[in-house]
Amino acid sequence: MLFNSYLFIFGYMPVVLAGFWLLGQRRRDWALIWLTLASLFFYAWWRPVNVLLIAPSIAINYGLSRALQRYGETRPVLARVVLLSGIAFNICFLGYFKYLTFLQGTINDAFGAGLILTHVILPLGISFITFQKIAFLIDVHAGRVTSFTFRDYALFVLFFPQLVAGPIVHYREMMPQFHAAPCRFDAENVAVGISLFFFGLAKKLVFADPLSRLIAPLYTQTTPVTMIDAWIAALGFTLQIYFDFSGYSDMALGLARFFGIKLPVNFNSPLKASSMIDFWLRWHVSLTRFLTAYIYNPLTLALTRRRQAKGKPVFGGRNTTVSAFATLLAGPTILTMFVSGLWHGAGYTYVLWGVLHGLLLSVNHAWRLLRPRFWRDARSYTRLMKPVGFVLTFVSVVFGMALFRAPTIGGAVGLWQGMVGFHGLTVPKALFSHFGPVANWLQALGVQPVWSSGSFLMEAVLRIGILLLIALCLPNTLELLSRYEPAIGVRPPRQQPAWMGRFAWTPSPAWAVGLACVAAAGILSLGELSEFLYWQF
Amino acid sequence: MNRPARFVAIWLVSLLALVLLIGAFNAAIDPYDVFGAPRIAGIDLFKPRAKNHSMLAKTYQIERFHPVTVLLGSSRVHIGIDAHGAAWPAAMQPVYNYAIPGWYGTNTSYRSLQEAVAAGPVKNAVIFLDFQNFFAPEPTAVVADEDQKRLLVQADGSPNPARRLQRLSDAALSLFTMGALLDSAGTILAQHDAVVLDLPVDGSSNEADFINAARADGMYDLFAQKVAFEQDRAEGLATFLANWQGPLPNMDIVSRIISYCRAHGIALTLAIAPSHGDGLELYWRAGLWPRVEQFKTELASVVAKDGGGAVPLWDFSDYSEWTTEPVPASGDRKTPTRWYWEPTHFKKALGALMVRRMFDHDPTPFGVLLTPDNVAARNAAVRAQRQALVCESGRAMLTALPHPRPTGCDGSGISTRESHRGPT
Amino acid sequence: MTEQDKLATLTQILRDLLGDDEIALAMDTMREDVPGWDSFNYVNFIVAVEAEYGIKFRIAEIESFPNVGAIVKAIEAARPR
Repeated sequence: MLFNSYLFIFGYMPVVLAGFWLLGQRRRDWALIWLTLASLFFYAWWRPVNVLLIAPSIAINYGLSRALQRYGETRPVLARVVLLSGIAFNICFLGYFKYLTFLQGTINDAFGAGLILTHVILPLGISFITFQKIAFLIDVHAGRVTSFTFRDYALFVLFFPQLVAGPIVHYREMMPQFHAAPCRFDAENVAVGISLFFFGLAKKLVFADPLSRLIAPLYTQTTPVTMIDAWIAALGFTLQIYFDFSGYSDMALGLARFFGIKLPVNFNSPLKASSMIDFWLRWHVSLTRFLTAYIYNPLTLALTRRRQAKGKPVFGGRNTTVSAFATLLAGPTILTMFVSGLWHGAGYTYVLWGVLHGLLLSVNHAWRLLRPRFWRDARSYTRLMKPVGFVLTFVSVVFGMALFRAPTIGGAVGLWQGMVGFHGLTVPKALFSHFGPVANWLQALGVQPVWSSGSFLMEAVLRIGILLLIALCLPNTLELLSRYEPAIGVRPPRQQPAWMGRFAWTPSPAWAVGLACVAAAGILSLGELSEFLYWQF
Repeated sequence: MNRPARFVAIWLVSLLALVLLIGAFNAAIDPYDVFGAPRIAGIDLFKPRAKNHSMLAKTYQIERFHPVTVLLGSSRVHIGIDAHGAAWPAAMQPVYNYAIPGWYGTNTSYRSLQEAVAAGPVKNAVIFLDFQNFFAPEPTAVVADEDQKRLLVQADGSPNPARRLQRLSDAALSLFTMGALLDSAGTILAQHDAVVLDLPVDGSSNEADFINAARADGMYDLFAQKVAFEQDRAEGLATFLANWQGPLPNMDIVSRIISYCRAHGIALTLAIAPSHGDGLELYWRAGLWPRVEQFKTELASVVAKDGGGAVPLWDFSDYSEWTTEPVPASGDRKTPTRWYWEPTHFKKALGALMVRRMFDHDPTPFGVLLTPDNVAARNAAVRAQRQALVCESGRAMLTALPHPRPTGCDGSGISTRESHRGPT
Repeated sequence: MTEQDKLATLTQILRDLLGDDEIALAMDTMREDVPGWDSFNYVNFIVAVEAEYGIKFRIAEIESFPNVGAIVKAIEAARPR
């Protein structure tokens, strides 16, 4: 079941909410059990067989967690073994479903082995679920989580709002909320939930999906993509995935809020970032948090302590040596981003995308260390260079997204070549003829007119232009609703920006009508008459 | 009621009101003529947005129209032949133009015929076949699936059980979607254009798109753009037919159509639609001409055998004065053409001429009745026409395409007169 | 060593790390309040503090420090290396 479907919005949600609130009137426990079962149903809807996979995995992880709880303090060595086997089990579980085909393909490529690729169907949300279970095991082992029941654990793993596209949540930020939730109809929660959910729905259906359909042909065409089209393809995809992810994040927040639960932030206007470091604190925030906490920090800590024990220089701010930088920052960063890329998808393009971002982050960190040597004043530097940083970050992200979208590395390279002008620059003849004398000029420079429709170009420019404006200049939903804590920890800033006085969200009649328009736009975009499709020999 | 509760209530009521309002708006404007809403001048008299939903629109239209004659074919017929007008004898009227634009093939004509018969007191069927769309395989796309579910009868003639659900879906999606809303708005905005595309109640589209394109770009560009586009299609078709052995695909559908008409007492007339010389030259270039001739031969044979002489088969496809009119020069936006908009689509004037030829004994020597006895001679005659026109007098074809010499001219003298220009 | 001394040392460590001599830390300063002090720099900060005082924090502790003051207090309680 997709969030953006008639069945989910008009069938599933009303039933689940009604049941939750009615049962909650009697006993909170029943409401929570109902919610767990409803989440299991949601999970099963995708493919009933998947329940047979996820149920044993939940049971095994629960058992291991109990063992860790029992032996964590008393028998640390056994606890360690249990932890490592738990992590290994989960990774293998994920690895089988998500990466087996990729692994076989890689072995084939590297060694010329003729492995036949097994086709494995990926269970829903397995990437998120796996990471959450691993985090839970580690938390129990480290003593961050001390008591839990099977009911709690099942609800935590299966809670449906974050099953499809995250965020990755920690047990200790979820369970206290479940235990404290009133489980009754609460008008404020519903008002906030409605606003978040339908903002998200509209973003996905009205912003992201039409753009996706528009630029799709550019990624399958057999002829090389020329400069303007290449930029449309890259920028278009960046905005498409931006609003898709932003929309899903908002929808997840809204859905959880109906039940009185706040999820952590996962998306915070990443295109406004002025550095790559900033970007990753705004894009897929919960993933960055997870990777930092469970891979980057432990790794860096361990490496640093080891270096220190050996007497080698460690990180020292502006006095860092190259070897310290390479081992203690660049290395772990690139490794972490490698994992991030791999997590996003089982393919060379995703891995390369991750590594690319790892390199960019390392460059960013290096720059931050070196900068004080020739530009002492931090304030003036920020004031002058922030716009430059913004442009650099933006361009890097857009180029990187080509890897994310193109089916092969070759395809991405072809697109990059197009973007820098290797494949020439073409303009639809219909527009070209309106340039008058300038047309001859342009043609002399190598700009070619072609028999393609000018309407595609105009629609693309219009859509991309408007969406860029929205992504870069308007406040996002978290900021709009900040007075009502739409996500964990989100509050209005100490210095409230000017627009917040008049335009911040409150449950006012004006916003009610406004959200009705937004919701109508979303609901009306759930389906459409099939458009006539051309086939070709 | 506290503030948030009031918010939820206002939101719910506003949402419902908005959605219902939009539905009512879409029902009134009826951009795809699904509901048969009254056509009011200045608001929704013309239906330009029905263009991409022709199968949908026409199926609902024909069920309200109850035609005596149904006209079938591809976009050539959809745009090129008027269902109203003096060309049609009174006994054949009212005529409904059920031709579907796009690459729906012969099987679609058959299913559409069944729908027409189920809808109205159909006595006559006029089906235009063309070499290009004839070979389209059975529709398997999602769209085509819905198109089939919408019809009154299934392929075997029995009532279609999937109809009610599909029509419910059609109605819902024509009322409560963003697409429909944007199309309704677009419909209203377009009413005041100088020339508006329309799908009238009898199904014959007007030529607005071509009129506007001709004014904006000139006939030369229209021809050149279509030639460039059709070149790929011709090559694709050539590859498809390259190693084909035996009778050409979909000929059996023609047999089925003929039997069906006989069983239902329908007077059937078949015709081969004419391409402009530029379009025919693309077939030569792709090596398809032998297949073109095979197409005519087999068709004549099937029609004669199954039709028993009662089914006329007209061949309008040749290199005559109507199909080889010269294209105005590049940049000339004033000079009109007489018979063609571009290589595939003929103008309504030619469409009317063909209707008069078939049903009104018009003496103009355009088009020939094909039988198994004369088809070989006809093929030879068309070749001779081409030889004279293209090979010997060196008439330039294939607007804007660079080509050193025409294909298949037996080495006769080729004129080097350069008469193509434009971007190379 | 008083808490204020420790605070001054921590401030200097952070200034060196972020290359900003105008950073001022108080006991209730949170990470978000200092521009540039993100999760990447946080680990390095912790390690520098560990090196300075010859101690070792538990990883669970490291993530749970709500503000600078908590780190200062934890220095006392931390086990020596």
